Amino acid sequence: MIWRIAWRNLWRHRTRTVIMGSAVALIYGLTLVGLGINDDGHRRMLEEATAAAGGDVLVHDEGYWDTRASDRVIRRGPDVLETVRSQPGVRLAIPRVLVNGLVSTSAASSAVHLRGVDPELEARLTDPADDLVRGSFLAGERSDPIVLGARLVEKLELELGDRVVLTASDPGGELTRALFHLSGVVETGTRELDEMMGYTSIEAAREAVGMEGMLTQVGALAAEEVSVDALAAGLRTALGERADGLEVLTWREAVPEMVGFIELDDALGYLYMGILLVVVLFSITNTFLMAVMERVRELGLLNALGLRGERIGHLLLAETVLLTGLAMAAGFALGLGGHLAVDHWGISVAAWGLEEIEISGLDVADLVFYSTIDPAKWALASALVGVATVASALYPAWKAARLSPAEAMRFYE
Amino acid sequence: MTIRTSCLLIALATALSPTLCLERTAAQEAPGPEGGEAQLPDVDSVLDYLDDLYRSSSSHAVMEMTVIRERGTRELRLESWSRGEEDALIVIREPAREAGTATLRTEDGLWNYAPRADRLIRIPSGLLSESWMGSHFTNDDLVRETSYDEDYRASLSWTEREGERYLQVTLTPRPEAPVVYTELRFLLTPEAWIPVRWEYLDEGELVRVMTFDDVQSVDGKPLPLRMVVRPTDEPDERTVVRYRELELDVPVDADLFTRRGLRRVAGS
Amino acid sequence: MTSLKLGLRNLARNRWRSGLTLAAVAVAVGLMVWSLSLYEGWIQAMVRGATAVETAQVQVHTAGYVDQPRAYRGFRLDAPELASVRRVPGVVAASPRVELHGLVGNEQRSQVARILGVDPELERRTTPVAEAVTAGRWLADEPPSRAEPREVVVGSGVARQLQVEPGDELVTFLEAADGSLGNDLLRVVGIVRTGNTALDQQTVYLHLSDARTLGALEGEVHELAIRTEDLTRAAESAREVAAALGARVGMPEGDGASPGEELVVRPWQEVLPGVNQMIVVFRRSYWILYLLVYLLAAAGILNTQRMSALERRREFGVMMAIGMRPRRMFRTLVVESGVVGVLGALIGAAGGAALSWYHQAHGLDMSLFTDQAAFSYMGVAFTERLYFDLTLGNVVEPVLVMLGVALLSGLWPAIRSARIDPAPTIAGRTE
Repeated sequence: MIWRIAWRNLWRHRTRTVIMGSAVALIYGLTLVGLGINDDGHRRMLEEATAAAGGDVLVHDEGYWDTRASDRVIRRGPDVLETVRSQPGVRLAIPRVLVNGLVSTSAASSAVHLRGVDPELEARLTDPADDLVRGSFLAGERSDPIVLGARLVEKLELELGDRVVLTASDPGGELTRALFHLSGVVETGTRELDEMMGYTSIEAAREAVGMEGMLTQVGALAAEEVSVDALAAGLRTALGERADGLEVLTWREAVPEMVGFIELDDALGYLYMGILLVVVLFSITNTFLMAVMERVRELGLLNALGLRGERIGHLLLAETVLLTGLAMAAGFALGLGGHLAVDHWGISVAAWGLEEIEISGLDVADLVFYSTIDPAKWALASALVGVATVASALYPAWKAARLSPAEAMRFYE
Repeated sequence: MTIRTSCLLIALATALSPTLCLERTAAQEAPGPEGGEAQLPDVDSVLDYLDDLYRSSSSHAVMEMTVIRERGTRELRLESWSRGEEDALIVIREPAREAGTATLRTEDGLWNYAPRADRLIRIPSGLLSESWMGSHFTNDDLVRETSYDEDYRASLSWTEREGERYLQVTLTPRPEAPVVYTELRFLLTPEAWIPVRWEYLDEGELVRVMTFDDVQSVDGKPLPLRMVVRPTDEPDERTVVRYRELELDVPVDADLFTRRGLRRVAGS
Repeated sequence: MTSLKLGLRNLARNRWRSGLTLAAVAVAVGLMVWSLSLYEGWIQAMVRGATAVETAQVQVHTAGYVDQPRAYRGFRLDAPELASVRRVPGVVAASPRVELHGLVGNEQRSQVARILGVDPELERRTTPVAEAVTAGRWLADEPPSRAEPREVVVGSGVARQLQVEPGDELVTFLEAADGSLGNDLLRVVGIVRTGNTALDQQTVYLHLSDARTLGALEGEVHELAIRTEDLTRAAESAREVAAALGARVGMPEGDGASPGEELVVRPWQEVLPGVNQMIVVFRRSYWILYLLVYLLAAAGILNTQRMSALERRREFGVMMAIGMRPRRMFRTLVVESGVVGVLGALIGAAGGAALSWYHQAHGLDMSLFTDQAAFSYMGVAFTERLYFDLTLGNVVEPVLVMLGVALLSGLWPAIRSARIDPAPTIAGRTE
């Protein structure tokens, strides 16, 4: 009964309802969009960290990650790969042969970090072919393809198809050479990477350094909802049985320098959310308090007409709850719409007047803000807004319930 | 597979001409450009001769090396010894500032000797392509030629340059051979097979040229005692090596190629 | 004037409403000021981390060296010139350096390293490298006698690669400026870990005079690294240093003929453009934060004014009926928004500034947020306490923006109210 009255009350004062409702909807919607953008930035950073490390969990020969020594290889490559792949919780197992050596042409020589990869598998983590500017990325035509960073190609005075000689140590410590032909050029925009990076197929890399049947690293991607630490522990057990002397690292253990940065960003994200919410709460509370205060007279009249104090309070609360519900529904639609719009088109920082820039680790294209819904955060924000809105009606409702009709009608605020 | 260290040292300035150490490949006869004006010699004989030319089980030499670069010229006087296939030692005698600096090669690797520190320092394999002693030779030139015979196939032909006729040994890499050059050409005098000019090409473009002159008789064989290395991308730069003394098959103490032996010799 | 008085009185009449709106504005502004100071502090930490240890804030080289670093592209730096640089206001210290590349190692292991010859005392005053010593000690003030090995301090990565610790001997072998081969015997006296990867993995420090001898450089240096008081004023300091040395600021434009021996003074932004760009991006990215917070505050103000307009309709109707002109009505209402905006902003700014000031002086303990508070990212080292940076801009800007926002949000309700038709309004027939 009271709900029907409340509902009708709302629509009787349509302008007021619309004003308050739209305020809450707008504020709530904006908050959701803000959270979406912030969370997206954070998520992307996590993804990049994982991609930079090479996977959620990494498997190598013991001591490889610290020393990067060429003699620390996984000798039973296919076995280990299969064990990782079949481990429950592993979405994808990515094999790699990593070689640190020298590439030479008749013009010059330069150090290279050569990655023997399976392009299709890598693309599921982060696709190195995205940075391809010339040629093809290990498309399979030749048996000795090599893709090099743009600055390296420049230094070595290479054209597509030219010879490239790789000098590196094999697992026995012997120096060995192998011939490649340049099949593609990548440019990341990061100077250090473009001076050092090289890619080839796993087979070609194996052949070059005598690592037939071996691997340097297996990167494992965790399935949704699987904790990386649990996965690592599981893999340790599964692989430990082989007594091969392998090491299993989570990406956090592999790149601890990124962890600090990410956690800090996370913290800043919460701080940001906190700021938003504080402002939101003030704005909404303000609105509702005001609205209710101003109706004290009207309520006093009702009181005088016989509606008891308590019920007036209930009425107010009911109205508030309904209004909040409506407003939040509208606000949610707004927020969701905003999220979808931002995610689809992105807010481009570049559009704000940045020229061609080359930043370590970032591409201008990356400086577009997208949006990600973190359900936990959205739920939290929604709960807070809802509670705050309703709570802000409590005090005035309580106060109104206590007024004597005569006082109330003279209540001018 | 025989590898001649002698080639290494003596032909130091010639970037260790690979021909001399090449395994014989199937003889490939090709008619001369004029269609058979003169018979091409047997490729085996040429290679044998070149091998013999520098054949020795040990050597001792004194050389002058001039390095001309954009920023100035450097003159060095070097003394060198070699023994067997792997051991080699080159010491700088002049100028005084650098005297005593040396490069030591054994089967275990390559080192530089720092006289002021009286210590050896290992040259990491990553530096093989770096310039040796600041010249236009590389460290790699000192250890490299072990794989030339694996990596190239040889053929002979007659060729004419500026009215002069030469016997040309053309080396092309075997498929998959990890070498940066796509072709090497060694021009020899037609009769005596004396090295005249070595050319290194990448995709048809000349990258490096070595020329030989000042032919003198050493142990009864004519040998060019002056070599000039020129990188084609820096036309004003070059390194010139001239032999002042050269003795082959002389007794050389195995102990020389150790820290102790080195010290003795470098200090003197 | 009347508008102002009327406006103020109106506000005072509805204390609750005005108070709450004021509070919303104050909170928004206060938080903006505080978080801007946090961001600026963060940026300063990034810049310091990226530059302090290696680059310092201003650098002097020859143009040829900047173009292509070569051992023979150094310049003469005598005592009077150095002194004139030190006299430039804002300069804290300057460290002349010789930079050589060569082999460092022993019979078993060696690696290519960057050899920096420095004056230990001057370097200690210019960069915090001496504080980054993790084993042994920094270079002594004077090099040891000629008979003894030279002192060397190595980066932690180098030490690990070569497997040496303080007391061990090393040899260095390199190509000197005149093309000859320099070499010497070194003894490790200390190991540094700066967090800067280029430094830790590849650099070793020698006495300036030892490096000069090694590199055949008489009286010459390759670089003068200058530390200034104020990071943000590096460009100005660069100009002043250039004036003192008779050098130019920044590299000459375009290709030109070989740039040669002209001295070039550059602030860190030019030496490390990557870091600078990162900062530009970082700053722009918090425009989003700005935008949202202000939008929210604006929504709050707009709403308040609309509510208030709605409620006071009758009152306005009466006022218009008795002769108040629309324009004055408009002005009065705009003043109301404006006052709330200004007052709220000022209060908020004061609060935010006070808190920022506290955090500037004492720092904020970042380990509240993360276990790994001390780390290095992209070669930049961060430490546990983040010191905020309170600048005038941080305070004034939010206030001004809020004022603008307040006025704008108050605009629409004010316009609508000014257009009220008195009679029907008073009669209550407008709903």
